[in-house]
Amino acid sequence: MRRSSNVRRKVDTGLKYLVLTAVALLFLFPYLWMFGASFRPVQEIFENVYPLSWRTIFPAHFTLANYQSLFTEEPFGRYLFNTLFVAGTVTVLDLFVNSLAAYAFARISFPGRDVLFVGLLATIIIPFEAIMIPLYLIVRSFGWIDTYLALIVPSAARIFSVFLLRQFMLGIPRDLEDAARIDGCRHWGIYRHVILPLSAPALISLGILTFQEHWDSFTWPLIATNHPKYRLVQVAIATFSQQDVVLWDRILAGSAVATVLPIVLFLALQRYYVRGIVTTGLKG
Amino acid sequence: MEGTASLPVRRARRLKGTEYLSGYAFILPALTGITFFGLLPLVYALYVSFRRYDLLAPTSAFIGLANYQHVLTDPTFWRALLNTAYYAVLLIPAQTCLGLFLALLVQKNSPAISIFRASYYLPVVSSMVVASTLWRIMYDAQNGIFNGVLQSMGLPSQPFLTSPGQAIPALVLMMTWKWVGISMLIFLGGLNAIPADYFEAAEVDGASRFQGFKYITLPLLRRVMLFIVVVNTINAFKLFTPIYVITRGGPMESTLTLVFHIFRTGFRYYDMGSASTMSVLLLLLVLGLTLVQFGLLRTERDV
Repeated sequence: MRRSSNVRRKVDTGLKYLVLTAVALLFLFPYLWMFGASFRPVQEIFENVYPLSWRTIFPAHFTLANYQSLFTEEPFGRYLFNTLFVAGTVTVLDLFVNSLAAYAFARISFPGRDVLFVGLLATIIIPFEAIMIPLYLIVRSFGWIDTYLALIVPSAARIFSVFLLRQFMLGIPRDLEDAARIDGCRHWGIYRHVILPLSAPALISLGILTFQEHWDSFTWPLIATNHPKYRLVQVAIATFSQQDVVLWDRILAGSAVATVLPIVLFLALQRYYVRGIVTTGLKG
Repeated sequence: MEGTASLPVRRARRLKGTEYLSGYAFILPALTGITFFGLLPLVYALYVSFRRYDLLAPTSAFIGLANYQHVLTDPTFWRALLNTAYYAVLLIPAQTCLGLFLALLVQKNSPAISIFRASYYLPVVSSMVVASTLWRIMYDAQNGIFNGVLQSMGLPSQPFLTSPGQAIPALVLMMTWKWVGISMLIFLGGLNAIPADYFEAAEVDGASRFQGFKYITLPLLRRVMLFIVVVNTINAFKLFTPIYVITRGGPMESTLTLVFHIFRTGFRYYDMGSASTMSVLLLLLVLGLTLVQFGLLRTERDV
């Protein structure tokens, strides 16, 4: 009796891992193929896709030509710099501006605070897609189209970040501030020297979320810029396939580069990242 | 005597004043940003929706409700709305069922399981443009892997994204793969919140694992499930990037979504009046959906 249930459990576990692996392969396959194909000669990109074999993923003739044309025939380095610069600046601004507000909503009492907070929180349901047209018109009237300002400034303040950081700050014991207050610290000092350092886990997970969201952002950069000088990576990849001839070599090499960076970040900081998602239940 | 008595009072009042001031100073940057780039666009959309506004013309003119009349009698608008609703109706059950299935698969904590969890979550962290491009290749009529598999099983090739009938279901499959990791994580949170003694008690009473799932897990996940339905419905109405990257609304407007229609009206036809009108309608729709579904969530809590 006991032995048979043991055997059954082992079979069950084996089956479960079989399913887990099969599903994982389904999820990973497109990326594995992409990395392999990005190292194939252009004319071989779509060869050996089927029947499935190790050749489906691994190129028969390995070449770096696709990456070469990506960086020499296209200013992809410029696009990468733009994306890193915009995503990095937005992340820093987001953390600074919204943590300030979060501190005020968590720790300072001033008239209208709670009404203001709830009112701002309600704006979280406004989808970007519903304001992209008027936002474009407003940003255009500032003369910001085809500038970094258009890509950075409208994204800095957001109530989602304020909410997330405020929740975290509310959980920090007040005793810790009393010492700073006795030492003569005002709000700025308490924010700067007590609350901000203690909020590091929340700041890190929010920072990763924000950076990745802007690394992947497409719709707003597509609308707000036309000039290749200000083009971001995702818009560039989409542009490669909008030409008369689809530039598959550049698409694949560009996609590989654009995918590697967030994955490296994600794997390195997975613990913080997942925690951020679980506590908010929201995606970008 | 009087001076010494009022000094602390005056000092307290002054302290209170600086307290208020620093409060406002701390929220000022965020408040300004949200006002200018979150709230002002709302008001401006409403304003522009009552005007004839050609992006290329120097002036605009008040035309009352003409834009609303134009949009609401435009069959393309209704087509876009219908396409979006159809997409949502297919996406929600796919996300919910697959999300729950994956959450149950990876519920236990172990190093091996966490690798699987991460690989199911990988598409969520990768970009929508890259995912769209890769699926476009996989769906390709000649070179795509899907048709390769079909042919090897002796089945006829399918047009997928190039067929008006198959394009939306094909997009749903892609978007389920892309975002199901989020549903999985939310379900995992729900599953971990169920106390283990419930299952132990059921086992003592002789319940099978399936009965435990049906009578304990599912009923206790109802709120989580509703939340996933809310999130996915709202996201379904924002569908844009894969449409722009792959189908451009085609074939034969079968994948024309509301947001793509707004984009095209504004930036291809330069008709900002109609585009703003549809933006206002989209906002009302999302607002309505949110209210209905949070109403449902609230009654759910009372039960």
